[in-house]
Amino acid sequence: MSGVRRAQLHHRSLFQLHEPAFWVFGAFLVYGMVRMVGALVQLSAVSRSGWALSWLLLALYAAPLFLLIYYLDLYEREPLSVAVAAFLWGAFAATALALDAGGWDQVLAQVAGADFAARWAPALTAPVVEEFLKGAGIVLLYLIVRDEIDDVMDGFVYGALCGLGFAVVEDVLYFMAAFGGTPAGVLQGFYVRVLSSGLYGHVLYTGLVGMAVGLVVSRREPAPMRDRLPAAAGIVAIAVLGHFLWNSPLLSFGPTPPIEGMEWLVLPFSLAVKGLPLLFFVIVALRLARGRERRWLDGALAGEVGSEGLTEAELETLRSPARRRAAVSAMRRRAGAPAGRLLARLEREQIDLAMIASRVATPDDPAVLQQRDYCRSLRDALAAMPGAQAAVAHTDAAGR
Amino acid sequence: MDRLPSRPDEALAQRRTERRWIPVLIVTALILLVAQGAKSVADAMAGPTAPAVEVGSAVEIQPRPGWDVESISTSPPAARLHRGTVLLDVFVYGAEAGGAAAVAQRYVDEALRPGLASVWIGGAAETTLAGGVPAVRFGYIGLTHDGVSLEGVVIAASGHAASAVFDAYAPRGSLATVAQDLRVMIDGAVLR
Repeated sequence: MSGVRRAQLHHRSLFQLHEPAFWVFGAFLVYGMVRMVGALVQLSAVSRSGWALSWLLLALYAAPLFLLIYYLDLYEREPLSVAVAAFLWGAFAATALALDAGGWDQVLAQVAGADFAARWAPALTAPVVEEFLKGAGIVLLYLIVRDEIDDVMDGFVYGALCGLGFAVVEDVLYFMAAFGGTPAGVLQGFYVRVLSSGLYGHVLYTGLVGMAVGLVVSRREPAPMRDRLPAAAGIVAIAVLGHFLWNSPLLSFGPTPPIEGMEWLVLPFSLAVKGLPLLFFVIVALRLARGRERRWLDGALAGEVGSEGLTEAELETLRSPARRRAAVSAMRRRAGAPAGRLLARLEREQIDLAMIASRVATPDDPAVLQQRDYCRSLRDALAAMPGAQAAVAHTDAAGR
Repeated sequence: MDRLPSRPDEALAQRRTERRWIPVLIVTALILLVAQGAKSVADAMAGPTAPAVEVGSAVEIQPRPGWDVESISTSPPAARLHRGTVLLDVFVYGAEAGGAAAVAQRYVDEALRPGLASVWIGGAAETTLAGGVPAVRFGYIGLTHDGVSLEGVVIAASGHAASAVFDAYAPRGSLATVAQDLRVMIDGAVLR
């Protein structure tokens, strides 16, 4: 019997009722929602207009960022239910549990003194506690849908979405508690926490933690576990260090309150001193992860080119997300929307062919044969659609 | 001792289910340890919940679990409560004809601005204490003279016979963790 069943391979929803991790994830999420929704609704009493403005501004920030993160993975679209679950874990479960864990500040104050804790507690306790709690959600998601997190890019996507959820709820708490909660205070808070520093925070930290999880659980990774674990620990350490630096009084060159006049323009640059190094690190890590994905795709499909599942021209298109989009667009224009959808489906199934081919022992494994046949049948169906052949020829010519 | 071989009649699916529970239980235990362990350790170190605090015979405030009373003075009537790095100062003044807004303005001018190296004051919003005593609330961000960046919330209330100021502040990033505690304590405070 084949070791890989196509139905188990991909596009699984969150709702794996037979997985114990699903119920644990759900229990923590419900606890977090009850706790945080109660706290957030209470804060609305400060100023209803400020509260509504907080959510509106953060929705304008979070919605495009959610999509940007979601579409980062070039070859595989993560199931929406799992992506939303990662966001919700960050927004409710991790924030509620982090509030519970606020006692570590108190412990630090008792152990090291109130003055030391006042200066260093946000830098020493929050990074470790918050990154652990957010990362634990990613691990639970992995235990629910193991096949969906199988590389560093998958881990980054889920981790960054989790961090985004955390940032949104934390920002509402900040706007309402620390910035006064009035519309004017909320606008100031939005400028300081989102416009000036929204690129550096939880999205990056937890994205890195997710990458570490992805590296450890990856089945595409040829390196042995004894090499992967130190690398993953190093990535987590960089995430925690970045978070530590951001919260610490070190490198705080910015204007001090009250911020007035031109100082508002200086603020983003002074915050960049703390945030940009980690942002650059994450960009480099993402580029490396993309290169890794492309090499994996080439390796997994090398033996498939020329088979009935994949032609050489199709591989060339498949390697470039831009070319894939252009091919689907050309197909839609020349042969209609159904043909465009069918081509997109064929491309997804060819990516799945790569997944299956990389997980089986022999190229004539029944799962590979079945997937090749399925790809061929989709191509045949596409070829039978009026105008489709011309679109394929046009795309091939453009590719050459 | 070596692991015993499975019975031939043991269901494969059952063994698989048992193995699936192990990592889930480990992750759950670690989450509970990090989140609830802090509370347990902190509560054990903090001792029992403090009794209600009376400030100048005019204000009564009930500390939440985990909050300690650091000091109470009668002249001037004031009290300081803390939880970890978050401090809550309570001051009692005489009746203020200008209402809660005037109490707040006086506190800003006479305590906040002189007490901090720099401070940014947020917009004020109306609120009430227990019994419907009118109050105003505003947030602030400040820098202490020794360079610690603070965020704070002030609730100033004006009663018939006295006025009061509740000033909760903490290093940047810490105040939100006790926002709910502060609301319960301050909203439930009695101003006579």
